[in-house]
Amino acid sequence: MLLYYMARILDIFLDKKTNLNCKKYPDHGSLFAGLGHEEADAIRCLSARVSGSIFNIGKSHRLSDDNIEELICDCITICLQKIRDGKYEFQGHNPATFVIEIAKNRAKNLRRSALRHETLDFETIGEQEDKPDFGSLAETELLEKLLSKLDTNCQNLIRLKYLEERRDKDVIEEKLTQYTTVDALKNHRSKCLKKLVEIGAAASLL
Amino acid sequence: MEIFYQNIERYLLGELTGNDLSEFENALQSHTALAKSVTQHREMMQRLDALRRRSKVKAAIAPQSAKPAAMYANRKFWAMAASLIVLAAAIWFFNQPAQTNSGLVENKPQKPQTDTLTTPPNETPISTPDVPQANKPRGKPMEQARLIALARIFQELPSQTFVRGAAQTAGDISQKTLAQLAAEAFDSNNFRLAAELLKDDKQVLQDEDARYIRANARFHIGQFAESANDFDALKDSFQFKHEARWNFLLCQIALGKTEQAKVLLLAMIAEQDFPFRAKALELKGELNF
Repeated sequence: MLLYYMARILDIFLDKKTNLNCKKYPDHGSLFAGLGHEEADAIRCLSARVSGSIFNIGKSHRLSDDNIEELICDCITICLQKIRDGKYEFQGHNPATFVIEIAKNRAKNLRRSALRHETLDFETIGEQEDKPDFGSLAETELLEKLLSKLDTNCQNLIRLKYLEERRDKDVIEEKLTQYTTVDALKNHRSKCLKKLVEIGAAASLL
Repeated sequence: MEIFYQNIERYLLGELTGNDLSEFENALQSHTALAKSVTQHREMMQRLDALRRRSKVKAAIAPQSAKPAAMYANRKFWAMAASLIVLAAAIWFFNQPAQTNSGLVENKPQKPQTDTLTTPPNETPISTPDVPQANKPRGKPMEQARLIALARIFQELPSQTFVRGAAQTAGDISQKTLAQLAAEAFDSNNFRLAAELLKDDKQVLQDEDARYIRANARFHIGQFAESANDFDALKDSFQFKHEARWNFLLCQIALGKTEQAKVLLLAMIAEQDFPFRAKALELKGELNF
């Protein structure tokens, strides 16, 4: 009983931490909007709100601590992706609830996929996935491997554009590559992307 | 044709306009290989976008807590640690009144106490090499405190007349024996000094009064094992045998030797003419024997 109350007290402290991150987002709508813009504070707020629940979900599915951390990251990434794709629209509910629902299904599937590598489904949230979840740890690790097969220059060009979202103009001005014009940069990056697609196709990724 | 392939990225990024766009879209209609390549490029760009998003989430979460799951995993540990601290604090807190009560009982028939159970800061504590620490029930500090409090409540103290008589001397202070000085200290409630003055067994070997005072002084300052030895030595004393037996029993209780105490207590109750039988019955009730 004492342990239970101490755990509750700790929850209050942890929740305090949550509140610090969520100051900017006093309601569900503002948090949803922040997530739509992929604001770091919004992501932190959402993470703080869902971490405890997802931890419990993960533990109930006997996932390791590392897997649970990845699960939290996966679920938030999926949530952001769905907001971006317009598959998750704000209806007045707490985005944390949506993420926890994703976590429940994902934890269930992670347990199964430990034995057979299957694509995760999200049937209970009323959506059928027609492609793998590109934001999952497995898929992103695979893509990182493919990227590493490109030469350093190509890796740099792809990273600057697609992972760091740097504007071509800024890349030239800041001399982040060997190219001196935006056109030259675009032309070469286009070739790099084509190479990456070919590597991906050869690895049956595409 | 090669130019179309080079323009796939620009097309997907929406950077193609005018003639370039219409030419590309026409080529897309007629060249399935180009269309397939566009689909592959689109998926690759989606994958890159997902990787970017995941990295962003990871980076956002990382400074907040390097290991969020670990934080919650440790929650149980911290909850247990905090519980133990609270429990320890509660034990300490509930032990306090027990000691205070015992102090009050000590003071009841006498003058305000000037001695305490704790060692004064500058005073060397009396060595207690024979204290059987192992006999003390460490696992139940509250029970131990309760037993000590009970022992103190039921202690049979030397009468004031006896103590003052033992302290009396015809001459001046320089002629007083250690036993008389100890009795005087005892009378002044300076039990530690009384025990210290008589710490040498030679002082009490031939002097039952002195041993009785030392036994009681030791009892007062919590040296129950030493006190028990003294009371045990007085069990055959004509003058103190009953008090010695009774207080020896209390020492056993204070030391947590409840089984031995039970045997002694029941034996005392069985003796109809034992002078402390009424007390023994009361104590039996308190101890639930």
